[in-house]
Amino acid sequence: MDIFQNEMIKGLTQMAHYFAEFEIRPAAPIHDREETVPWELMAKAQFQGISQTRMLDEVVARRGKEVRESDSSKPKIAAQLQVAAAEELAWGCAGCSLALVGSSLAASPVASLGSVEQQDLFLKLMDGLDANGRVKTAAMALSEPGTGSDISGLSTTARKEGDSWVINGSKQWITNGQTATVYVVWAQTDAALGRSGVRGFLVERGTPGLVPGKKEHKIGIRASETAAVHFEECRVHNDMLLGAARPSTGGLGDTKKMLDSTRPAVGAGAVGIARAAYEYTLEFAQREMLRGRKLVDHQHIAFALAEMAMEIEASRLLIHKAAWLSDNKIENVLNASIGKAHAANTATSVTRRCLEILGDAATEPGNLVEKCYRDAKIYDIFEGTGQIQRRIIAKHLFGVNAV
Amino acid sequence: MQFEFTQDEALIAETFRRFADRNLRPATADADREAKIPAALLAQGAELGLYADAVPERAGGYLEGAYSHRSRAIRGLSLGWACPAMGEVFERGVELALLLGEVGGFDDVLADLATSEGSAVLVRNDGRLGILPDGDSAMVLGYFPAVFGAAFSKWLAIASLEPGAEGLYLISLADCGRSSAVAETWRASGAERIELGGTQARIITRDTDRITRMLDEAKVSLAARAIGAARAAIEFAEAYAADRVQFHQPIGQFESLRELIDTNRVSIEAGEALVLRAAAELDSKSGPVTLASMAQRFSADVIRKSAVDAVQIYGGYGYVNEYPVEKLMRDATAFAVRFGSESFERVRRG
Ligand SMILES: Cc1cc2nc3c(=O)[nH]c(=O)nc-3n(C[C@H](O)[C@H](O)[C@H](O)COP(=O)(O)OP(=O)(O)OC[C@H]3O[C@@H](n4cnc5c(N)ncnc54)[C@H](O)[C@@H]3O)c2cc1C
Repeated sequence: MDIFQNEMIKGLTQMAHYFAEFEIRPAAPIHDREETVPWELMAKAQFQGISQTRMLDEVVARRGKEVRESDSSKPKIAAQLQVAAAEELAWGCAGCSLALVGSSLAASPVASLGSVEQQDLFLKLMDGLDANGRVKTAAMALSEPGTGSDISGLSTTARKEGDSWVINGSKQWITNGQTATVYVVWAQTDAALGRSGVRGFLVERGTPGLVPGKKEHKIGIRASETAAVHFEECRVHNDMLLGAARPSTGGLGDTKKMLDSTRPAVGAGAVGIARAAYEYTLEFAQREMLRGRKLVDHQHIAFALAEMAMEIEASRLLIHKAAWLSDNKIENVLNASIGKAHAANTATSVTRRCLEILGDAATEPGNLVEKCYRDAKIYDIFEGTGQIQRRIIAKHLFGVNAV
Repeated sequence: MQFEFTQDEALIAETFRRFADRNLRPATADADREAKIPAALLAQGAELGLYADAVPERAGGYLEGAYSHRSRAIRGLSLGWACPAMGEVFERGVELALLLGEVGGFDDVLADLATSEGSAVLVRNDGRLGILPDGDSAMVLGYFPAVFGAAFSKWLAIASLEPGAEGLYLISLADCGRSSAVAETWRASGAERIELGGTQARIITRDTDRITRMLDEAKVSLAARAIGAARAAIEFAEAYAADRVQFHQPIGQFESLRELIDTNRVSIEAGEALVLRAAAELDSKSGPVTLASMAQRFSADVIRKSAVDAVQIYGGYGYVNEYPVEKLMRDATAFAVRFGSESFERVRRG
């Protein structure tokens, strides 16, 4: 792995860090406090080429450049670039960073399952600004009030009627759920088929029967909008069924694969949070005095910080390995889960220990580490909880479905 | 040590559990959102003898004879179980009242301490303050970023064990620069940023053993509330896990979640036993004690782990404010940093 020496990765990391430090950091506290979406940041990011739909852009780019892509002398680093950028953006603010790149969760199934026409449609819908003059977003609507971890238990249905599908059901905790321009919604098309009956559909905002629901108030990542979405006799044309050309592969299994592909970047976000808290605390410990010595000169503090640095470095390497495997077209399901679960642990434990070192400074309104502590917890919950990651790891390593 | 509650203790346990369950619990979510405790609740707390029970009779309180820290810990378990922020406000002033009752004089302050609105908040100098003693008063310079309970209080007591600045300093909050510092943790407690610009303080004592003892008393009370809050988090999580079905079974039946719940329950029971023992130690000795700091440290770990694990067990629902565990995870923070960070504590002991 030459990831830390690669000039492109270094360059992008610098760019993303610059954006995180000078654009995201100053804006983050207010969006955290007021639970507002950072539309202005999203516009700046888009202008600077930090894309909302990175995955899909890649597919389209590849389509035109099949020949060059197959040139084996060029290293393939798309996934590694993605994790490098994701770490920096989350270092700035995990909530803002999800607002910036959350649409790629929806772009990913379109990239992997969508037809050329669907991909073009998706990009067309995402182009330009919405009716309120804001950057457009997309939402990936899979989870339901009664079904989070066990996605085979979906109760949203899609019923075939002539040349269209009629969708009914409710989705819960959907990122960009209230304001998205386009939704990728997952529904059961044939209960008799079980898991393989679950299919994805593209649904445009404004489609009758698509009803954005209540926005959630969350403990963290408040700059990212999370909301319920309801489908009430929502009719979409047959062309909106993802993977129609490949009915045997367009189902839930591919949905899971899609989660595997976004997992390293999600884990990288957790590393970014841990690093933000660690760096802030290190500076504090280098500045504050106790008993005539700087805090860092006390072994208790120095070792705690050293321990954090160890964990952060380990998580980052695991995640980069998962990304490297993905770039080299080697199956990475196991490594993606290991990386994400490890990074989630790191983020929760590092932020907690940073709070302890800061003491009452951490309770000041707007304290960065306190916010990191709240933001960090999401990484053990979304995109597969910590328990679900361990289930995947166990299954891959020794083939059991332990209960 | 006695493990059974005495008759009096059992009565206190029952009274405060009922108060916590019927009066406080229903009000906690709103109090957190609006960042204030309804005046009626504060009055009800005072009616139960909070505040006045640590003030000697001669100064208008109810205290005759020895104060029972064990009883205080027992009620703290219930107050923390209901709401950590409210618990902090209800437990203000006790250590100061006990100390003033002992040293004599200060009857004006004691009379205040017998009431909710006249009560005091206790903070600790982490070495950041400039303190210039001058006879039995001092000038104090510096700030505290977030003093919980300040908005409801009249007095500020600063315990300082820093070399050269040892003392217990009493300041009228009216003489301080004050601004709201309501953030994420203990939101209902009326946290304020307190600025001291050479503010005049009365020195109550310079006896470091007595000041250490005072902090020990406060730590045991804090620890009791932490354990109560941890118990609440795990009770919520357990009930939720029994109801929530994934993969065709209640999630509470998955071994990993059962283990998560059990580990926390063990810690909570151990924590409660340690807290009660630490309180009994306070009741049996007059000087500094050994178990109080241990109880604070252990219970801070317990509440943090319980609250975070409870959020985990709720999954996506744990991350949103519809359910009570989200608040408990925010509230867990303050337990670890009250009276200076744990790290400062450990370095100090070392
Ligand atoms: C901020 C936020 C943003 C989100 N964004 C999206 C989005 O854009 N699109 C989307 O579709 N979803 C989204 N989600 C939903 C998220 O993916 C789910 O919350 C997550 O999958 C967990 O599901 P659940 O909440 O139903 O928890 P549950 O599945 O009910 O789990 C509850 C607890 O049980 C445990 N558990 C479950 N099964 C097992 C088992 N077999 N063994 C051991 N333990 C188990 C879990 O680990 C967890 O601790 C988001 C959630 C949040 C909070």
